[in-house]
Amino acid sequence: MKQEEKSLKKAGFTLSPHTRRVKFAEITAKLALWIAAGITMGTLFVIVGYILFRGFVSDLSIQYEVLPEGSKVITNEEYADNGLLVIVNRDIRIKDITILEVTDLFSGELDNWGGVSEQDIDVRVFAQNGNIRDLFERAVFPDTPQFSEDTVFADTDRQIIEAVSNTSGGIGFISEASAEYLNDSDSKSLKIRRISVAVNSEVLRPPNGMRIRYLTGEQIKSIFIGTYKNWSELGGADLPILTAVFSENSLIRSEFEEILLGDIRIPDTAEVVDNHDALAQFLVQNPGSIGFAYYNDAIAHDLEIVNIERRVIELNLDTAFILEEPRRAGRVGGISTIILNTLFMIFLTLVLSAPIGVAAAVYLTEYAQQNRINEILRFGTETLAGIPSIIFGLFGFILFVMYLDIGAGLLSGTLTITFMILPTIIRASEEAIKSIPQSMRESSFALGATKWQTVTRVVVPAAVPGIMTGLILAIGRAVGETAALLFTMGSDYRLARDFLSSARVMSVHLYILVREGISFERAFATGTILIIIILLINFATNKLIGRMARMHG
Amino acid sequence: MKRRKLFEGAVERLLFVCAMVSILTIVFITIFIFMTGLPLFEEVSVTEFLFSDRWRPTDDLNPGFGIWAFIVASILVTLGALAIGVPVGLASAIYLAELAGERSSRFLKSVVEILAGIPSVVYGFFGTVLLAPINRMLFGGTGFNILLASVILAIMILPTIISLSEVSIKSVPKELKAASLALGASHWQTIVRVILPAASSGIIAAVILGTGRAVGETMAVLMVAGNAPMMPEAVTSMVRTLTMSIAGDMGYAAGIHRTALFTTSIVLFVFVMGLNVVIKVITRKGRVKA
Repeated sequence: MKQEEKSLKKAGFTLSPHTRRVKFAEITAKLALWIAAGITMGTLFVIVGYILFRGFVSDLSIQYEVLPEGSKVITNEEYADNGLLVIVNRDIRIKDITILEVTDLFSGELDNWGGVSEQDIDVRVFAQNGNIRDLFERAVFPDTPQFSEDTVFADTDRQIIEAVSNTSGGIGFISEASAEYLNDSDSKSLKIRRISVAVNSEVLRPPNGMRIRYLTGEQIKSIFIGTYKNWSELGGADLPILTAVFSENSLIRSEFEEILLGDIRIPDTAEVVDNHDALAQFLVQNPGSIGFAYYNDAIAHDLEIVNIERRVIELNLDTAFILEEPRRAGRVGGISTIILNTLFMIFLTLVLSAPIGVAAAVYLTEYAQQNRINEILRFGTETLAGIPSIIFGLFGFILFVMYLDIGAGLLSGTLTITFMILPTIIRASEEAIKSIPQSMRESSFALGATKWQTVTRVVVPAAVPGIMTGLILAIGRAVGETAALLFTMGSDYRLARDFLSSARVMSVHLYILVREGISFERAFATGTILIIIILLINFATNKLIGRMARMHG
Repeated sequence: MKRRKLFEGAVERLLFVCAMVSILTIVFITIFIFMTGLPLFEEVSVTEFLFSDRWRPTDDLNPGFGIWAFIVASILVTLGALAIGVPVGLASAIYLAELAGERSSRFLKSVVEILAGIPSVVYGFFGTVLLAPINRMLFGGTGFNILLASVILAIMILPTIISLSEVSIKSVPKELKAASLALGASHWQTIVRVILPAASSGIIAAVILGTGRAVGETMAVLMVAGNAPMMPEAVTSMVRTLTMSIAGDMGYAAGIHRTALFTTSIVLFVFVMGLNVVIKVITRKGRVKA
């Protein structure tokens, strides 16, 4: 065609305006079709891609009052050559900890690791009674030292290491000199994040103009190196940035430089202060000034602490999420019980609906005459498929919760879903049974088999792949169903104990996580599992349909 | 022999009962919903219920049970979904039936199947986390409004529209297409003037089925439409649809308030059943014509 056109063009023929218009319409129209198909595919990719990505990678931005980094050794000027380490049992899934958390853990304010490492483990405190206890108390407790009531005291570092290693949820402290004993123990030392950044109050609350809500570690680094000269460069008010630092041989300055600046040193343009009072005074007197101090010192001297953002990019959907039980309304822990509840529901639903659905399909294809009743039955199946799930939910609520009074629970929800997915199973089974060649039935009859024998031993076995496809599609519908389950299944996220106990399934869990604003990260992870199930179902049905096509040529 | 015959008869009757389950379910749904919902009209007149937009179910002194605002919201959201979903879906279906090669056709069909399988809460969640902030940036407000609900519903009805339209386009006899091409019509002219008219009853059925989906969809809309029980004023208004009203209030409603929710579901049910009957009529007509 193209060749022909070209040769015609060469020969001096031109297309008439009408033909050109038709051709133009043809091309634009087809382009539009392409674009529409592209939109359909693009939509799916965006949805699946976005949810899977956020499901696997969590990118949290949390604001702290201390720097996102810390060093392991706690020292102060008096004990400069003998610092201490905070150690925890190896099972605790954290690498660093803020000084605020250390205080709360040792004082008994936090008695469970849930708030720190998202693990449901009780905190067990061990304290060293020896030479470093004084240093620890001064560094960790802002005013009077107050160890938790359950604190176990030991005399030597070795005893502390042993106790922490053997106690789930154990935390303790040892002197830096004993660090070598950690190597072959079940304890690890933590980085302590305890440097706060303080600013002049006008930075946080300028009389007019933009205020600084938080800084990132990178921004703080640039500020102290001298890259930024004015707060307006960081989106703040028009104030010059004035940095104040402790003298070069102070421990806090070297710690600050080490953890934040690396090899770079703070330039000499910074104002040098000798003590916290001088720092506090400088920060009050100079608009736009900024400095740093240990958190407890900053609090003690009433410094204006600026929030520091820490971005945590980590694996969101991990094996722990699948294997652990949900706790605190699903805020922490995993969704193992919810997955199990979902499996129970699917299993029960299939047990109830598969026999009825296949039997109905057998009746419609093998037994029913082409008459009015058959037509009504078929209309019933088609209509049932079109009824909104919320109506099924109300129906289930009236029947099971209001009249039969068995409450919203596993059984009520399962029965409701059974009615809902029947049409899917019936229709798929009907198609599968219809596609069995008539000749197979005839040969069975010719061998003297009765109708029932033919159906159970010839027709249904041959239609199994198609019936399976219907069942798998029905599973897909059941897994994703929410509206019908909201008022029939309950929302208890613990494992269902019996048929009547309230049980939360994954889709309902996702809805509740979003509605109550519990955790979007968890919602992404739950959504990811749902989408993976749907993808697997699609894969499985395609395989089955492929096999069926091969079987029946 | 006699026993065998008896057995066969019993089996047939049992199978018949199983086949009756669907229709019985519909009958029971109808009975239950009407039984629980109709008593509302002892207290509120039908016209007030349907055409008043005063919804104050928890007001003790002067309660209002008008669902007009929800009906309008449902209609607007559905029309919006159809306005976006039908062109894209129909065009995709034509692409699938007429233009796509074997490979891209199989791929697009998989895409449609997966779209159909994604749970509605996931659509709602997607709308909440990605589309609502974009919507907020473009149009201000909360980002949860008719527009967003329409877009999400449009995506959700795409599979219905694409797969049913594709089937009806494919089932147009080859001779019609061949005759049109033989008369010198271009491919596009053939599609528009021959194939689509011939497939129209199936396409209309697809659109109506999509309408039913959109009207009845609950979770996704509940999460993205804003849930404000007020008369919508613009496409950027936050709205509450019929399904949202039911799902949103059911958790805590009691007494006459709960009854009013069942009455709302009667309206929804009647509408959806009406659509089903229309589909039945259209497809039967189509069959007669073909």
